Amino acid sequence: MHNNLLKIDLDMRLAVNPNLVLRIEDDDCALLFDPDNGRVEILNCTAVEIWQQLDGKRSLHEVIGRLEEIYDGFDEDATRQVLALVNSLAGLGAVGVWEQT
Amino acid sequence: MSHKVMRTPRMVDLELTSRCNLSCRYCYYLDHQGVSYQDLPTERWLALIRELGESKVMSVCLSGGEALLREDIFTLIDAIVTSQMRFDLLSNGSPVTAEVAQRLKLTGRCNCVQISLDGSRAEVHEVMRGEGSFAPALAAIRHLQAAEVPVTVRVTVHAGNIDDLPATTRLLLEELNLPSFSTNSISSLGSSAKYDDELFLSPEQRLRAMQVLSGLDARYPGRIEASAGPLAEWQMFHEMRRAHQNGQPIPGHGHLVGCGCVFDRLAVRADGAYIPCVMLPQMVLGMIGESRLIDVWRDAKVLDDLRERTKISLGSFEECRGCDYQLSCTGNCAGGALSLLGDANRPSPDACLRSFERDLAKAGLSLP
Repeated sequence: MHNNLLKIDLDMRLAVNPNLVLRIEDDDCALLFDPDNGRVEILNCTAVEIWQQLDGKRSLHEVIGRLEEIYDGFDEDATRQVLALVNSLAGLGAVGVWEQT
Repeated sequence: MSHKVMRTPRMVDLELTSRCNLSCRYCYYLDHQGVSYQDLPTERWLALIRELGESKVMSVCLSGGEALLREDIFTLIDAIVTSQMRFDLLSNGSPVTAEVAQRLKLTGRCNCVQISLDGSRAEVHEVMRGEGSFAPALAAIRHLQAAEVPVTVRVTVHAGNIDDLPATTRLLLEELNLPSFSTNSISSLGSSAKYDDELFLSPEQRLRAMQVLSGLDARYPGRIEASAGPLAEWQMFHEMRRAHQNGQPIPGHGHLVGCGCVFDRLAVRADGAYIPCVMLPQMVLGMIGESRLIDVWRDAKVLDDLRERTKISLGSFEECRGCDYQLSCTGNCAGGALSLLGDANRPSPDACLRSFERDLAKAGLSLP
């Protein structure tokens, strides 16, 4: 897996880092746990929804399309927030793109 | 105070074996009535570890007995790693050779190894832990440090090591340069209950231990930890007295909120019994192989009752009525209450500030 922090775009097919553990704590939040270093990040329910759709097959464009179906009033600002979140997760090594071999 | 119950426990204590190479006089683990001290075979633990991973448990704490006495210990640790968890290990240190330390390091998942050390020299440490136990404990710390495994120490305070606490602190924080260590004291659980006054701190000794530790805490700020025992009591008692003097109760206190483990933590005995906490080994919630962890966590009535304990007001207990500290008190450990009173749903008398003040007054002393 190869992370790309700065060049996230809507055509990317991102996948979650399989070494991380997503713990759903309750209806409002989840913990993203890295067993290799013990680091824990808190995700809200929207972030969990995004996380669960980053399967390496769907493009970010498709992921956002699904979010538009789920959430009313999903606008350009929401799209920017999704990209910011994905960028942030990529920066943590939590998501990345599969390298073509 | 409102506690949220996690969907699954974040941490699980695994008492991997009831065997131990030491016979510490104050052992809290052994001699609980009705507790079976048998060990599960490897396969049963491996199945549980897989289940913990599937339940997204983040970390396990390995203890015993002496967990490192299990011949299959690294098979179990490998399974913990494969199941995407981290681990802590509690040990008396004697099985920790350079090779063991290196193997722990290579797992890449060890949060910390806690070694029990009660004194700066053999004659102090071995008063309770037995002859020949000091040198291996010290060597273990050095092996772990050499292998760059995070290591800490637990000092159990008793009548025989209060005067040695400054030397112990110098050994741990200056000579060995540990980042920190923790302290507690002998609790009214297991073997120690059999010895009563011989082992427990008298009010005078307890006050002296508090003063010595608070002085050391001031000298080494943030490096001496305590969630129970004299230092923790010193800090809590002063907070309670300040709250009373200011006429302001401590938010969330005034109920039986001294035990928060049951909201995010569970334990498993060496014989495979699920229990709420290592301090409550008599409260069996189910057995490995018969009940799934997730079902025990969600459905065990005993666990639910312990969670509901936090709603019980201290004002409902005769012994707390009229107490100046009632609204600042937590009722302390459920394990202590069960051991001393036979009822976990009562305040535990062993860390009661009013009782302590009364005991000190009888000896012509007072809490500064």
